[in-house]
Amino acid sequence: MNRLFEISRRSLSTYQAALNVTSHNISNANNPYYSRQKVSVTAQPMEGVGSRFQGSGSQLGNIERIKDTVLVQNLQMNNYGKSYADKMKDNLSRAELYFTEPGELGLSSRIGAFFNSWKELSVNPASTSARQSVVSSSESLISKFSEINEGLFLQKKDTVLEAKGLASDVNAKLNQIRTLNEQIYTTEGNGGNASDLMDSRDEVVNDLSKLVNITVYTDERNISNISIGGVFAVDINFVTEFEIVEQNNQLIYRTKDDGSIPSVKGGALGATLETFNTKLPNYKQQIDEIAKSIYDNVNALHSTGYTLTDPPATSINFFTNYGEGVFKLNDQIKADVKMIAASGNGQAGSNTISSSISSLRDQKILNNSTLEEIYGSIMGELAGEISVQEQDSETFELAINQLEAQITEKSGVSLDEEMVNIINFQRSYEASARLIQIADEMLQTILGIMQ
Amino acid sequence: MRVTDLQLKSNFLLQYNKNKSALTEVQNQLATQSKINKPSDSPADIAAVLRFRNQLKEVESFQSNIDTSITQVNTAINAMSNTYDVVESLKEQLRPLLNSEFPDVLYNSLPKLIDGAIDSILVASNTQFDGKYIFAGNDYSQKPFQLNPSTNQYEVKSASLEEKQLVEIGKNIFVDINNNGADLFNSVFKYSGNMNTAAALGFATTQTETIFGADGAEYNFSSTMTKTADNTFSYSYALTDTNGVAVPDGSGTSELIFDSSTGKLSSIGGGDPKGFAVTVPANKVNFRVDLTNITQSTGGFNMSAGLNTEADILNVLKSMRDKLLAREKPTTNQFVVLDSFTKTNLNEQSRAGDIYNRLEDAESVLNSSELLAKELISKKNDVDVAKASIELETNQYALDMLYKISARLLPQSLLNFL
Repeated sequence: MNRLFEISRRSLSTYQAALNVTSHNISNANNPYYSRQKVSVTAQPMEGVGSRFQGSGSQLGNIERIKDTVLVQNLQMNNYGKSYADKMKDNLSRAELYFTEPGELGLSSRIGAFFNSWKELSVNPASTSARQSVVSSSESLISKFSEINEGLFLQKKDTVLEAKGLASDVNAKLNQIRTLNEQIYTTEGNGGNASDLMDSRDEVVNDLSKLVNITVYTDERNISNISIGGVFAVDINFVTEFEIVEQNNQLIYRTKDDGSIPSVKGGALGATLETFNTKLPNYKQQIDEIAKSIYDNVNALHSTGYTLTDPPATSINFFTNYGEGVFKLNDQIKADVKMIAASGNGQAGSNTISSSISSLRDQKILNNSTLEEIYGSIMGELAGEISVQEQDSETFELAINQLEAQITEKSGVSLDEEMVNIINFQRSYEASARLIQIADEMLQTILGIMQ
Repeated sequence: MRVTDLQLKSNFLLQYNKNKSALTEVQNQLATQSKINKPSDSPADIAAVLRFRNQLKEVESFQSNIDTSITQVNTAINAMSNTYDVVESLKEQLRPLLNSEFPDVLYNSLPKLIDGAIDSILVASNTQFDGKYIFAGNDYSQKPFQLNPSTNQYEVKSASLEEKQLVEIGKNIFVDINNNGADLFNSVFKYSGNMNTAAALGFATTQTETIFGADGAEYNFSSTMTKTADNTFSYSYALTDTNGVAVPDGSGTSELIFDSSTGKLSSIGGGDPKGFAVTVPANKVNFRVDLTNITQSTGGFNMSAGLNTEADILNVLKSMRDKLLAREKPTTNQFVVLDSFTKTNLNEQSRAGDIYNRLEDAESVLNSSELLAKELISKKNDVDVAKASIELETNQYALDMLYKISARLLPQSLLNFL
């Protein structure tokens, strides 16, 4: 009779534990990083009763963590591809804003307005209002160049802070992973279930893969060994600290201890570094070339002309103080529009110089192209890069959605499925309790006979 | 296949975001009426849009130049037309003087008429438009025609009556919009032709012409260009009266130097390469020598020269007035100058009319270019409102469907049926 009680007791414990696992699943149904746990009920080993071996009830088998590691690794690869594309698109879109194209406020319109004002001055080179218009359009052009330069400069400064923030985030995540590796090892070493710890680690690794390109190898002890761009980053015992340093106008991501430089090609950090090191300098240089070309060519013509002053002066530069794409209108001209040298011979009505300056617009004065062609190609290049990053982001997103769907299909919790399990385990629990009741009745019957 | 609750939720969010972003894009297009609000909206078209927009602005700039030029040309035509009318009317009033007998009262009345005509011509010759003297070439510093109190003669004060005011009315299309003030109001001995580069040293060419003093006296003007070195000619001139006697201060020499690369005259006596004034106040001779149109090339020798009018109108009228006040009859030669003036004036008006027509033609072409540029920008940039509205409706419908389906499916589980 005691055996009947024992089997029923074990059965009650088994199904109670099974219900615990199911309730854990249900409570994590909305946790995207949770891997559902599957409980298996197995038979207790046979026990010898007299000369025979009899079944001894049920027991809780392994609590299995349902996870496809191949899919997870694929997801991580796509993560750093998408993060790179998203971050690069954001950075380039920010740079795109400084150009305010297409519109009246854009550099293109201002270059056009600058040359048009010279063209209109040619009609009446002595006109004060036409000269004032040249000054206004020049100031507007200069301020746009300055605005673009300032914008790109500030963006570079922000990019440094952003890169340092991301590097620090990577370091924090690596430390978290090392701690979780240790906890998983200890828990499993003590015979415990480290499923939830592994989920937490997966979440951190997933987040890390959005920051930088990583390679993950999980060994037989369930320890994740991670490297970043070919440089060891973390395992159970060690974690590498990385840092951002600025050298020769380049941002370098390297290890703090020996200065090893990983090949960072992906993730938000990869995009941030490339933005600082390549993209922004490239666009700044191209815009600077346009500015320098206008500065040099206008000055070369203007300095040969004659002002409207009495007596006419010559060898006056129109622009001054050039430095890295930024320049000024000559203060003398700003103070007195008669200092504009529109005349080719000192006569007020001569428009030789103003005509020549206005015709610079159609001359191939930079890299065998007109300024308009060069600027158009810069805008085309910038817009094209943003578009490529948008398309890449969409492509990665499709892959990520697909992979997440596959992962969720395997690892996600289905409430309906869990409800079926609950009913199932509840019924088994009720049957076990009923068995105890029957055993009790049987015992009462025997005790009744004895009385 | 397992379908989990997270899958349903993720699918809903994915579709929702896609739908919303499509909806936002169409909404943005409809609100701005523009497909390209930033370069990345259409990388393939941005360069073209920027080019067309600049083209449009440039066309507007050319249109502005043309508008200003047309007004200036109209102003010039009005000024010339007024002087023509004034001189023609004066000629009618002066005609009785050609008769042997005429009323004595004319000695008193005609000088006032001539004074009025001089004032009118002076005002017209010094006409300003937008702050510039339109008959002064490129020199706007002072009135081009003024009375010199010391010589009591009208003189040209501008150094550049022949200079052209070139205005760009299309890409690299320049139009000379001004009338030459010297041709109109001054007497100009104008050369035209080519000196042969290969001409031997000592080669000489001579041009002669009869000119008048303001009082109608005739003089012979003779000029000779002699090659003295490569690209260099000696220029000498002399004025003689009808008896062949040299006029005092009526002769001079200078050196002409040609630019070997352009073939144009680069200096006259080391100065202005356009020409110089010949003024002999004692004989009331006042005319200008214009060498602008001579060149030097291997194209062979040809040279011609001639006067637009035998004397300048202002000084001739002043002389006629002075004669009448002195009870003298104006000379026939002075009447000849009046006829020459009106003839030149008509020619110049005709030239201004041609410029006016050319400007109007150019404006018409620019209007077409403007329309074309606007059409091109519109094709690239403007939103097809009908298409966008339908897209908006479709996207809105799809979003409504998504809400409806998701509202039915997402909250459902086995729990609802237990």
